[in-house]
Amino acid sequence: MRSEWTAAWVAVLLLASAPAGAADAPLPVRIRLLQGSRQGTPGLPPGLEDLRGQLSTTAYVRWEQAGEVQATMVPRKPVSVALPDGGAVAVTLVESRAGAATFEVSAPASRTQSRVTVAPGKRIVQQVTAERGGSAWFVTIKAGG
Amino acid sequence: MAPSDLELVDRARGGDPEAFRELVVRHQRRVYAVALGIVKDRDLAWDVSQEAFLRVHQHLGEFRDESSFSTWIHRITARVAIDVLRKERPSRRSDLADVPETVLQEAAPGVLATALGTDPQETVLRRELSGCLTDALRQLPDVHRTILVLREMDGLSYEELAERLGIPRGTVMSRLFHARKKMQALLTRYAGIDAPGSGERS
Amino acid sequence: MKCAGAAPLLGSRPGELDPVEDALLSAHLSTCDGCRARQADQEAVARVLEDGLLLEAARRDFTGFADGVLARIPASAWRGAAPTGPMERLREFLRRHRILAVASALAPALAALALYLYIGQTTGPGPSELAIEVTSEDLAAVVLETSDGPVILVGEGSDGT
Repeated sequence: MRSEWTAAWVAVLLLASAPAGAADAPLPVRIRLLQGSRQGTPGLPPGLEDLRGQLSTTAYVRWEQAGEVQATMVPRKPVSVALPDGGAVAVTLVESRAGAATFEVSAPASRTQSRVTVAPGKRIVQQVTAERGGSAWFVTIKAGG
Repeated sequence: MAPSDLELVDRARGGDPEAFRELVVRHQRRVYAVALGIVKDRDLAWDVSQEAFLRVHQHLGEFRDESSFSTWIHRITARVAIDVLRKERPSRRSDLADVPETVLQEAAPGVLATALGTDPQETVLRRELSGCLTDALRQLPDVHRTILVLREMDGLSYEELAERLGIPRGTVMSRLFHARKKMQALLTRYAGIDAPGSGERS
Repeated sequence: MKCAGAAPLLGSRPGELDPVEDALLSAHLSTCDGCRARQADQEAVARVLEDGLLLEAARRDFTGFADGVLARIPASAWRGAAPTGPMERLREFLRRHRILAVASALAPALAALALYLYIGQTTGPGPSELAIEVTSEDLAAVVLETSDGPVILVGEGSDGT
């Protein structure tokens, strides 16, 4: 089983190599740190209204924003978002082109690493800690401010 | 970046299971909400929802691009839910042709609306009421609950409701009023909102 | 028009009342505080209803739902390209393993190393690209694509954290 996984991962890396001529333009990015809970009064603060559609796909009903970073990102320079109970999440811009931006999110607290390509204006919502006591932390990333 | 519903429908029609899976994941919660509103029971609503998606798949070829896919799925879900409800409980005759005068003699109309306020996002009370909503819904008779859900979740018009339920338009309208009044009485009781002398007994 | 007659007209949408009903209702509402208040109540109930049901749906864990639906569709229903080139075969391979990744969220004891990959397809011309890759050690990761963007969730690890 494990060798199958390794082979698939290697194959995927080969497929995922950046195409030639990728632009490396700096990109304004807005990252927010959110906590989702199963318990407590269900609700979404007004500032998170733009995420309603995505957040409602999860089992968490109560949301709060705990932090925000707005940065102009350049490729391969990570932005670190501190988690309230220690640890941090690293967000790195891999590349940005006219129609798409690729981010790498590294979240050791959930032992997860992801690489996501989105069109400008779309938002990535990623869980960055495993659920504990009915709550979990998320980051949301939007390219283009 | 993400494909539209119509693109996914095209791909699913062409035999792409991943496109269909994506459609399911996108719409599963709203479908479940519609089903739950009609059949009340959570496990039954889960089954109804899955059945609805199966029917959607079977009838994908009939979906016309003019209407919204979401609306189409909801209609199918409501049909499946009502069928299930009819099997579980034999239908009773409707006894509401008109709204009796006594229903209107409660004091303080407008209490609920005032308590909830006009800005739907801000009030804690609205969130609390949403939390008890399914409990309140469960206490409504089937006919009231069904017509409320069809109207508010599926967005059916008076004409569509009359056709779907096989009742005259006038009955649709008075039944909706009656259903909302009952719902309001249940919600105000849950919320402990003072409505002195209310003549409504559910 | 008395209040009992106006009551069923409350909560109508534009175009649903004929001109006579419309005129009678407007006239009645202009003079009747009680019915205006009743109308507001009716609208309030409608909003709470939708909110409440969607909230219940948001609370529910939908793990396995889509799998359950697809499991009931016979394989023969899926016409179209059988896996041919290397890209197709990889996609087929990963699709099976995504089901495994979701299943391991239900059976954490069995997941030693969960690897979840999702291949998206760009809608423009040119070869398809990898849209999302997620590596998760010991946790099952799930990616949901919504029209606003992807949602990436992680499940429980085998040690129950």
